[in-house]
Amino acid sequence: MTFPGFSPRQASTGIGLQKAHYKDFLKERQPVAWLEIQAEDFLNFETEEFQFLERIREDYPMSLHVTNLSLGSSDGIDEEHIKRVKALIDRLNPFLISSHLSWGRIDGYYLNGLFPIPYTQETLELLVSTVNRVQEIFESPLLIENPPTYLQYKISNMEEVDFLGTLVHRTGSGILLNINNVYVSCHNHGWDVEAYLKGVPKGKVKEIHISGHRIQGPFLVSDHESDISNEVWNIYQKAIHLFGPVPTLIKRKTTVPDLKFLLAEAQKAQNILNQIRTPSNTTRKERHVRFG
Amino acid sequence: MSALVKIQRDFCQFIRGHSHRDFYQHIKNSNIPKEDSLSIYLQGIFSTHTEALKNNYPLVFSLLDDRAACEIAHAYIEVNFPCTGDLKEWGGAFPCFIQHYEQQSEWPYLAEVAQYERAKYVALYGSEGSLFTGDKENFLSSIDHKEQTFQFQEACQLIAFLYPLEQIISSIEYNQKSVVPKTQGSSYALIFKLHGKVIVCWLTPSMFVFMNRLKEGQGMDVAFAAAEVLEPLFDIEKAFSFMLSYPLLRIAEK
Repeated sequence: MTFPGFSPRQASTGIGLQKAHYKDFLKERQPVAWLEIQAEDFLNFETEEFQFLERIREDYPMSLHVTNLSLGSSDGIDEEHIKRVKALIDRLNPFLISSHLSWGRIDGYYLNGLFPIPYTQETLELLVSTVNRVQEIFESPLLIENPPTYLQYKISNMEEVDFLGTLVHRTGSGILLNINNVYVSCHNHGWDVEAYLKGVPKGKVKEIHISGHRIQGPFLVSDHESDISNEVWNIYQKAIHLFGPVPTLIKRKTTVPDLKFLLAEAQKAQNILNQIRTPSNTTRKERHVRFG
Repeated sequence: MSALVKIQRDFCQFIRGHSHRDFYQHIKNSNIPKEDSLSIYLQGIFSTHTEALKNNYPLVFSLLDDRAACEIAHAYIEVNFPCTGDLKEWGGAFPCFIQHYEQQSEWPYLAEVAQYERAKYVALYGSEGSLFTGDKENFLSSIDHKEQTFQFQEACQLIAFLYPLEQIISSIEYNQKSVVPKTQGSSYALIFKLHGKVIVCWLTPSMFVFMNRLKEGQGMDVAFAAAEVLEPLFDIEKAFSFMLSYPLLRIAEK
């Protein structure tokens, strides 16, 4: 399977589309290249909100993030849920589709969270099978996001980054690298950030998320409402130099700030992307992307 | 049982409050106590589900202070553990839960406010369907028999409340909770969907009875007779004119 959409030279930044900002996007063109939507918010097409979404889609490419795929569930996938997501994919034609390296469903119960999986051969084989099946139904490659984790399992015998790399190689899927989650997990488990980044297979990172976290006791906790820390911005800069320009999302979900704030963050990320466009394969016009 | 299945089942048991010791044995030892790790996941689950309830029932939660909101959400989660990934759908049993929830006596109409909000959700995700498109002005004269029945749009609901919900909702929405009457006083809502949006109309008792009988599949004559009991001068033409203005119904196929 091949990845459609942006080529590395066209890599640019996006923000999550929030209900509070629909009117702004419908009123006039906003200075952002693309938008992310959460699939589970739009599975019903007969609502005014979906009509807004389709109108906004006419002006902005969209990336689709699926929260409840539960790729790592030993129950296997919920085909009913996935088919509903597929219907949404057919309507919106997103340029990227992503989900998480985690699980959230067992024995019919939905825990509606992103829980850690043990990194073992057993889990790897399950995930290879699941991801292949999801990609088959979606008729599109999937990006798999590294999770924030707050515990490790005794039986894990692979590093998370190696597990993820092997998974994407075997399935032809890609990586959504969440820089904040790298920072959070490395802090929580004593892993080395540089080693983690170097372990990510080059060429497989197709999207990057940048988000916030809070301090809670000995932990950093990823929360989608805190501001992006300087440490995460620094790691992002290193990641772009390692992986090249990649579509980058400013992830903010829970407490939705002013649109101007989000757009400013997106521009900050875009400025970093612009820094590493090499003169040999860009025109003067392409070198500095700025919106608005 | 595979190791992965055991881990996931033990985690689920821990989350549901049945046992935490089984899951502890899976966690790699570190400097950080295992309880601290697990508390982050537990917090996350309750936070996600509480947020979902608040999104689905904003009026209900606007009546509760933070402590009461947390308590009622936690109590609901514990007895209605989700079996769906659609969090909007999961909250469906919440109105009934509130009705039997002992600690909600400060707001005696809380369950009805929840019922109202749930009805709006059901309308939003119901089908508008294809409805009457004929001659509205001569509609009544086009009906060939008084036993005629009608089909309403799937999303349409008619609800009778024990409390004056229209005033209550209005007070909540205008942030005037202190003036909301807590005494009973019936109210009747028509909730339906039009062009993807939910519409709420408050009806007179007679109009409610008339529409409800029609919606239940009873004939025009039976519905009219029931409405006349409450309002001797019930205007059937005006009633149909109202229903067709949206439109809410069509003539049922034989």
